[in-house]
Amino acid sequence: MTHVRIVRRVGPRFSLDVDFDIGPGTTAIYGCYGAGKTVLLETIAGFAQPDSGRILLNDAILFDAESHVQLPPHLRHCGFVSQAPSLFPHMTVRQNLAFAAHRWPRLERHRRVAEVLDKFNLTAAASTWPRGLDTPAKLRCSVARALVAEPRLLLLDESDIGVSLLRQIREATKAPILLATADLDLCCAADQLLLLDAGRILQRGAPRDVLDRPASLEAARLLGVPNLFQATIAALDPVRNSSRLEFDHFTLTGPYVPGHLKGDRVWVAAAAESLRLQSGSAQSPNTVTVGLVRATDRTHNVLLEFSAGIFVAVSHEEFAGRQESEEWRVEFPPEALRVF
Amino acid sequence: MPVDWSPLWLSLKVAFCATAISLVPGLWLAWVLARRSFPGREIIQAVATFPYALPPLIAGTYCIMTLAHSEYAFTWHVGMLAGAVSVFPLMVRGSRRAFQTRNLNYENAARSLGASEWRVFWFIALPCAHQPILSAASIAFARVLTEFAAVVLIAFALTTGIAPFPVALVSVIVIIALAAVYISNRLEHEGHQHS
Repeated sequence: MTHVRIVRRVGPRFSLDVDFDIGPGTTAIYGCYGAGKTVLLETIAGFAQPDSGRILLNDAILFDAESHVQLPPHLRHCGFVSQAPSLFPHMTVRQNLAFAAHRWPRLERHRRVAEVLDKFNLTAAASTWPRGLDTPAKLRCSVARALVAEPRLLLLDESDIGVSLLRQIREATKAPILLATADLDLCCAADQLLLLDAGRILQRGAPRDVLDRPASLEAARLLGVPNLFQATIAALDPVRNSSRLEFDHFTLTGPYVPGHLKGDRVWVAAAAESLRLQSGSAQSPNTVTVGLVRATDRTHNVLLEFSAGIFVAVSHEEFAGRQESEEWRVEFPPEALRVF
Repeated sequence: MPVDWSPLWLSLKVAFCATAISLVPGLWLAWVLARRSFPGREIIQAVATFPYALPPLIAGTYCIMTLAHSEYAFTWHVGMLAGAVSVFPLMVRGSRRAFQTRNLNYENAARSLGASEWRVFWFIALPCAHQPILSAASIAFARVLTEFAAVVLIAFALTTGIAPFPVALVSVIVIIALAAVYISNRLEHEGHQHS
């Protein structure tokens, strides 16, 4: 079992208080700047001591406040790739890797270094100094160096890793990976996602579940859900599992909201990808007629901003087909609405 | 009259040995003060810096008194010891600042790769901070050289009655000290650029 349960106060205003399991595969920690991602990773690596709690790695105790166990970083077998440059500037790429492989005999060390150099396309740059490498090569070298040491847990404090490099890392090691990132695309490639905000875990689960169904207003805000409105519950129907929600400019049918009463003010969130555009003159239920404010071209889709602050993401093809429309109707599928 | 160069060789020998002797414990203490937090750290820091406030004459006299009954009394070894004591704060302060300003990421990366503290110090911290450390050593060398040379020349004049001091000898000592200071400044400047 690999488990982290720690409390660490950092200065008078910030404290990290987390309790989670690290499963096999990749666990992504998503949070904005200052959420405590780096503090968490550094604490697991042993660079700082928590105030209380326990850290287990494959059932071995790395830290236990009660029994005063604090394993030094070099005995933890936690590979750490930091956001800041950490390649030793006075060593070449090969020497950097050889430093990590120092516990093996010379021939074995050479073999391991050559193997990893080849795996991460660094063979041509083996004799180069770190300052001569471009940013992606530096990152690959940092990762390769961490993997040469055969860590039991790989800590990646890096947003620029990218999905392809993450896939490469997963092919190269069976060790669980804890990845701190502010990139949602990278989170989708993970097996588990933790949302971290102000040192606390807001939500955890499979990435798609967390991204599609934020469990709280804070989680929705953290994930940047663009459609976030306040509404009043006008009706509740537990039999049909539905509710009537009155917004400032429109009324919608939503899911049943347990624990709330008629007249309560609630927050409603809907992902831009889960809303649909309606065409034709037939009026479907749960649709709102709106005016297009602006269209923003994105890599995978086009984000349309409508009046009343409604955002819808559509494919480039769909947008091209509707571009000339004079009237826009947005459908809110009840299952797409999250009520807090 | 031919110039007697022996005071120069003696001063260089003393300066070199004193710098080397103060370098080893100075580096170790600087590393501990820069990287460790423990009770009494400030006191140790104050004690290590205290010789800086002592006049070299007092340090030399104290060393003579300490070694009065040994075979080393009134030999160049006393000068070397006094020099090492007087430049010890320079080494500690210069090296500590070097360790503190260097990127801690390198050391933490080395630790995460399984390197012990000794390995981190020897292979990472020291090479990364070598320029400011050599800069401090260079200044220390210049200081011991000029201080000891002054003592030797005065003693030489008092015992032989030859005054003023040979201009060539004094000029060479001043040039060597100036070169050491210049090298120190260059190293410090380069160290700043790298950090």
